[in-house]
Amino acid sequence: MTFQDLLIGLERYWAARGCVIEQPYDLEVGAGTLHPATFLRSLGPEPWKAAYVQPSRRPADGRYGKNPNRLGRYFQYQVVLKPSPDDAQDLYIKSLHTLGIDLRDHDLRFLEDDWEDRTLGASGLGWQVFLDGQEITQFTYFQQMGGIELPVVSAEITYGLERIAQFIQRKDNVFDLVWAAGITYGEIRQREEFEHSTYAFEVADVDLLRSLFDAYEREADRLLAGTTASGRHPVIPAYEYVLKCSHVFNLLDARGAVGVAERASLMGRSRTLARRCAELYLAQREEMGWPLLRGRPDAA
Amino acid sequence: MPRKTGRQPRAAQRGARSSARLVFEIGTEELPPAAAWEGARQLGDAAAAAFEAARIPTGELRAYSTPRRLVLIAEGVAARQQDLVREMRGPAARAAFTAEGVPTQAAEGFARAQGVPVGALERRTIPQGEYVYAVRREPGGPTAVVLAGLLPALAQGLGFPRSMRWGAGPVRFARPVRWLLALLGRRVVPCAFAGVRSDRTTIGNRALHPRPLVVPSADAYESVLRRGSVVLDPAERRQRITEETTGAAGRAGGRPILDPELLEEQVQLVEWPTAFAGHFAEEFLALPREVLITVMQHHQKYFAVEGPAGRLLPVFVAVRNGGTRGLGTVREGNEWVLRARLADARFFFEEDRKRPLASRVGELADLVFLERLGSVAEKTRRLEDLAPQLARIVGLGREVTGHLTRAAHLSKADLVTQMVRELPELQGIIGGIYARLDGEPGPVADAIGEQYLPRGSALPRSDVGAYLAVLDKIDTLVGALTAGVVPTGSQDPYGLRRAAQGIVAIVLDRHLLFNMRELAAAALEGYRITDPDRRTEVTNLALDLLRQRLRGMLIEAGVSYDTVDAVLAAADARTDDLADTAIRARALWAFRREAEFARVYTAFDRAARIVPGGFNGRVSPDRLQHPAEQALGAAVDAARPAVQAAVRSRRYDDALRRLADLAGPVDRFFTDVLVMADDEAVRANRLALLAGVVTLIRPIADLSRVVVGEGKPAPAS
Repeated sequence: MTFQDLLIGLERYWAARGCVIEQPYDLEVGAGTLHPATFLRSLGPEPWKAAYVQPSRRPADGRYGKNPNRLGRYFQYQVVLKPSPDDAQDLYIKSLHTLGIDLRDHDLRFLEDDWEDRTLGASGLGWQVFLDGQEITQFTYFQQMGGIELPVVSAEITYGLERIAQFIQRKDNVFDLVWAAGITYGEIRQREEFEHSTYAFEVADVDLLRSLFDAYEREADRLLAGTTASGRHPVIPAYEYVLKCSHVFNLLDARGAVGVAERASLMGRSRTLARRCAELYLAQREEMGWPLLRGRPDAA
Repeated sequence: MPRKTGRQPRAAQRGARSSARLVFEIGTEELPPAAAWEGARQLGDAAAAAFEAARIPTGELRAYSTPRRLVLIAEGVAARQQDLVREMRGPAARAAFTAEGVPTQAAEGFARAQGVPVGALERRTIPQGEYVYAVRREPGGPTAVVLAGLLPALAQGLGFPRSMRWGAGPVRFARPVRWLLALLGRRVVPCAFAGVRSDRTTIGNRALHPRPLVVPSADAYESVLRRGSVVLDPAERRQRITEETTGAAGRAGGRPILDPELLEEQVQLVEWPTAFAGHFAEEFLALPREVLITVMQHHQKYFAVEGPAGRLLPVFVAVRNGGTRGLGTVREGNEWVLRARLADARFFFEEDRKRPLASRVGELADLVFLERLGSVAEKTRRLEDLAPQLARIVGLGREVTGHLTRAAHLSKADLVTQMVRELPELQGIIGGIYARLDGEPGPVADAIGEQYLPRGSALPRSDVGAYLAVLDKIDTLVGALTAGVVPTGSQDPYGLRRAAQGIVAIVLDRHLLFNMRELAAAALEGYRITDPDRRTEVTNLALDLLRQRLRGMLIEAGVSYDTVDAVLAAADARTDDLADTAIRARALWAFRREAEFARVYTAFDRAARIVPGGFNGRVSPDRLQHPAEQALGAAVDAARPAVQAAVRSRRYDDALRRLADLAGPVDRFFTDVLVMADDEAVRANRLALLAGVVTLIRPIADLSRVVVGEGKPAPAS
């Protein structure tokens, strides 16, 4: 099974289970959770089911394309089910089945893992899923998002696509993965890993990044605080500036430019903005009468 | 444990009408192992209390857990509750009945209020006289009806360290609840919990039997589970894992390292354990043993395997949740994963070894120690400054002091190595290994490796390691208290109780006699608190925490709580020396079980009671008039040098025995002499004499804390 077969298989599977097949967010994010399709949609009582690939940026994890298992940018397959259905685990297991993994021939474990993202004010309980000793998925029941206790709990399933593909293809080196017939993951992405690592560890302009963080934060703050002529807050643009802050913070961190006191402060600033976005989004959806609740008496 | 399987004989079925077996199973998604253990423990305890409160007699009660179920099994559950008999005492019989035995208005009023006919009142004689009683008997209901409320309440009552909500429901549990099985004999007890209704179906092993299995009767429960590839009893799973792991390792030529923590975790990770051995390339054995074991145990949950000479073999044993089908694939997958992990570990090791540990100390400035307590670089500096202080307070030689200071300097450098970033469990251990490879002195390397001990029952074995471990913890303790973090109830986010416990354990283990207050004050220097009141406050808090831990540990070691409290209340700064306090506690505890103790206690207690607080008089020997007075004066003078010498050299058992000599003279004194004499000078002199007696024992203990007639250890606080 090629890397892209894996991805296509998951898309088909979750589409058939009623998920909106969302697209990757077109901003740098550290994880699929930051996509508004998860972060914002998991708030409030409205039901939601979505699945999408999310390229995820972790500049500090970059290794110039030289480490066989480390990437500064990789692909998550993200599924969010809200409210979490009673058969969430079964749905997940069946998705593995469609990838050709028959549980009777393998060893599948759900190992306790509590998840927390302090820049998002988010937390959840769940598992790391191990297949024959390999961690392939994070499975989380969100409890809080943007510091807000969630009235309706979403199940979040995050597949590590490279890990699963390496496992299926038995490749020790991620760059040897067959992406599509005749072309490898390395041929497509290795040079990019090298360049991003070079940028993040050596070249990134710290002063510029700091000023960007401040500017993005100011803009987010302006959008969240101010009222436009029409009287509406542009929440999603504000949230996008929060995402930009988060990415700039990750770059500064990879560059080794964030000291102890500053780290706590930057994370706190980011968390505050995320919380305000969450609050405003909720207020807005409520004002709109929770549009996705209509005609779904079974939800919430 | 005996297991019933298959059909029961007819007689037993008839018997089941008066009592039956109950099975209550809460089916969940995969529980964290700690929650599985804890849930079963609570379920068993709470069930015993609940059945008793509900007046339902049962036979044996057992609670089990697997990764996906918490199960209560009650044998011989009576079909009906016992009747409830309420007895209420009414007026005296002579007020309730006339001489002719006719009920009075008082009797009628009482009977009416109690809801019984007046003719049903009973007369009973109790020590206070003869009274009338109203006896009401409420017949017990059918057990099945009571259970419908009792079982969900049991489930609801379970508490977990972390619980969660799911879906749109309000219920919290360790993980989502997915099914309930409640069978009393052959019947379903209809009830509901967490939005799930009870039924007679359970679910088998996730991989092998993921479909519902019908359980015809409570008696068949375990055998149905077994058909569903689930071993219910954790003890049986533990035994299977142990046997199969040992067997698999044996076939590979070695013995498994059956790490107890890993074993207990494995028991709650599998419902149908099958152990198998796998191999990794010999070349990885060049990595330090601790690294290999950490990768195998912590990250992959494998058992490492040792050869006959105790060296690791390139073998691991994994436990699978399932049978032998596809075992080759599972083995191959696990071997593949381990190879990648070990290749990573070797990469980190080689990268880390490109530079000496000492060159990394500067990078600690970017690492947070604890929120609000600055960076690890600052922590390192504080430890380096504190090392010579500890050396002075404890009285260490120059070489040890030098090693301790060097170890403190290097102690945290491994936190910025790749190895610790990837395998955090190796912090300290890998630092010690790197330090040794860098050519640091052996005691320095050992100390770095032991700084985070005690862990479980493992204590530092090297001197410098013990001192470094104490330094590390006292700095954390004092620092957190400075920042206003004080552990309360179950909240102890900085692990301060554990730190305090660790300090006490090391001090007692190594018999380190020194003034802990002085060390705490020295540690406080590193946090630059200028306000003297605040300094005193923080030092007191630290000492309180340490003494609480000491108290708990002594009680756990079998010393009675009041003995511990008595020595903790001893005079002067002695209780600031934790090891000395422990010696005094053991001496007093031993002495309490000697015959002389009662007399000593009485004598000292009487003396202490009569001397007013803050009394400060001196004895004038020429004013001692009465022979008993003179005798006591002489006895005190005779005992004093010996007692004081024994106290100075911490021979508290000797001191106490010597003090016993005073019991007789004190007794006689109280018998023959009136302390509160009219003559003020005589009175003051007599009080001074008694104060002298009390003063002698005060450095050892405050006997007024001793609860006489109690020698039993109290539960640890």
